[in-house]
Amino acid sequence: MSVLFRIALRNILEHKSKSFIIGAIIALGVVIIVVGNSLMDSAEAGIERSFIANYTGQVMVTGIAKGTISLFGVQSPGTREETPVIPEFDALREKFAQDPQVRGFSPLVTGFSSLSVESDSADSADTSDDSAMGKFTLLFGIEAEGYHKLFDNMKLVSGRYLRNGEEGILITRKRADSLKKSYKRDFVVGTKILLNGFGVNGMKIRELPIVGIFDWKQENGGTDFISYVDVQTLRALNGMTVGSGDEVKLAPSQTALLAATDTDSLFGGDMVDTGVKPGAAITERSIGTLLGDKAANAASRPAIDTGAWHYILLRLKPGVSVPRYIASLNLWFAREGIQARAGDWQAAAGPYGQAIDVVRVVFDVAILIVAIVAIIIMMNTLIISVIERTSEIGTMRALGAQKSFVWRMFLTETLTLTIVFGLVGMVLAGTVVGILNVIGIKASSSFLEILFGGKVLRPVIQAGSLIWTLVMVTVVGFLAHLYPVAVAMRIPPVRAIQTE
Amino acid sequence: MKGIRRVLFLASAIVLSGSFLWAADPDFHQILRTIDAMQDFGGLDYSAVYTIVTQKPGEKDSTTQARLFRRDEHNQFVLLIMLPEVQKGQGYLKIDENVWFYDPESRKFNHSTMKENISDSKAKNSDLSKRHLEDDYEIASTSEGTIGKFPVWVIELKAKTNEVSYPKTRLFVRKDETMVLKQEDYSVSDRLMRTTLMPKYTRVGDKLLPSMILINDELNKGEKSQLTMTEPSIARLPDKVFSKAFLEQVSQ
Repeated sequence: MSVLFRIALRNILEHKSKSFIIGAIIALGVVIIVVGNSLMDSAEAGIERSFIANYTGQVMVTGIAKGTISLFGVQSPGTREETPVIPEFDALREKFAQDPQVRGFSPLVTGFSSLSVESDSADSADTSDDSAMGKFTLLFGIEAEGYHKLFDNMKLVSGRYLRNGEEGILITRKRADSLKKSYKRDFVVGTKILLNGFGVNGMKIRELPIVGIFDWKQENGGTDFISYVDVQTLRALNGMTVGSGDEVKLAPSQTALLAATDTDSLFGGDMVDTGVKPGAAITERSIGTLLGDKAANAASRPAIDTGAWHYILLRLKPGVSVPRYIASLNLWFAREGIQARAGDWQAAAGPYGQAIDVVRVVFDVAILIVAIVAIIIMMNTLIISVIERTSEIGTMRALGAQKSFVWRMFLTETLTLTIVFGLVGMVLAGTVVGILNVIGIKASSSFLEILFGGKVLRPVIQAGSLIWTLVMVTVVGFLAHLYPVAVAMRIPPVRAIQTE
Repeated sequence: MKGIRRVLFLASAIVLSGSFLWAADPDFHQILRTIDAMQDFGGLDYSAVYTIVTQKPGEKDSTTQARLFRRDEHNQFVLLIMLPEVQKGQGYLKIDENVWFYDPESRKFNHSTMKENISDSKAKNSDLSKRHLEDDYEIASTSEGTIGKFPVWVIELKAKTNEVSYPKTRLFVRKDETMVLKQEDYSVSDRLMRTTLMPKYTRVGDKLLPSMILINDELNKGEKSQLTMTEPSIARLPDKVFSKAFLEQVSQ
């Protein structure tokens, strides 16, 4: 045992009460950090598991847009951007089908829609804001059978899953109840629902029968909004067509105002235009020709793009590193010149995935505050302790001890305290987490259920978290001893000896 | 001398009272009634074609063409989309307070509102329908200004009902002839949402209607739509036009 360590131990034991105060602060800090981290890590792992199992998969492949793409569409500041269609879908499908690292995959189209029923009068519907939210849904357009094999996420309350090629909608029991409240009629299997899609190509209406009503096996962020439909209906609602159809020839006057930079200059001349030619009278007979030739219209109407998909969701085999797989996939896209991008479950979960980052940042800030408070308290206690030992320091210096020796002596003392009480804190934290794991923390609200990633949170401690905490308290101890020792060192040995 | 003084006093009194009369504000409620009446065809039907070209930064211009049918006497309104191809045959039908949207692909109607934007443009159904300024709004304040070479009254309106597209509106009305040159639409929190300019009008029967309209989206800067009206007519329309059957038949 080195001299320094023996002196440090002797000092710790000699100043028991002060050592205990500093140690207790360190141990308490460690308990807070380890328990907090374990709650955060367990919640995060739970959220990740539930999102991946519910609807994001581990990897999401999309096309490329200016904004950020998630399963909820493209987030573009200030404008509405269409979710891009995945290019070279067939090549990607073949690649994933043959990839030994892929457990399964499923393509997906998403879009927003309102749900209603056909009626002659708007009076039959409840138009309150709550009701409007109940009628608003995020549609997942799926290839039914493959999707349900990949995501075993629902318990059917009535009806059944969609079959491939079948037109229909699956809604949650919550939504069926909410629609019943709005329209004062039952929404059961077989009820026909009107879907009003808001695609980039304007509004579209489709009518679908309810094929199944389900409960989520586990609810989490976003699940309240989701309903499932056959992909072809959703493509129609989204206006996903082959070719845009028409090039319109416009007269210069029809775009003249758009070019005006000084709008006041538009009001300079005569405002009354006498050149507008009157239209022909419309009669019963001419009604049928208002839209031109019907056969030509049918021929020129853009067809629905039956091969268009917004996403491919993948689940990987156990043991495959998701970040590495995503990185290799993105490299492959770049190499092959495919305008696609792979992202993780958090990217797929969009705003809900970002919410977890926000919670993590808040927690990290809280930890930082705890660390700063701990440093200040330790520093104060050390200052008192060091000042009380000024004469001892003076005597040591007078007897020939170098400044560096005194520095090292205090450092050894502080680090010994930090590590010993840090370990005590870890044992205490381990006990607390162990008890919480056995009891389980029940989510008392749906918000907590989302935050816990399930109905009960059973926290576990990660080894990495323990190492990180020990390093952190050691650094805190090191920082805390710097100032008081520097103060003591500034006092000349002669004065230091005279100090009582 | 006395007589001359009397004459001078009388003359100055007449001049002063005249100038007071000249400076007095007009009846702004009457201006609103005139604006409403200017676009109310009463017992006549009205139809026209509106071409709406919409510009968005970084995107190709999009064009929507729609034929409007109105029977103001019965508060009826039909808008039949003719372009783009992907929306051809879609339409809006308003009978009394009910508004329906029709999709010819599914042959289904759904409830809609007059606040709905026409296609992907900045124009709303309500921009083409009969105005009820006097009924829907109350005057919050008035002031004066200039738009281009025209002196205008600036009339700030506050909505009395939730049925209108915007809760607050500011109208810039020409002083010499009742024509709305500009309209600013605000949110409840006084945020400017939309600016509409009406630099060209045309006579349809004895009414004056805007024939060229520019709508600027103030939330998404650079996004704007120009509406151009052509083929106006006040010829009697078949009754069938204002029915669901019309929208079904026209695209069958």
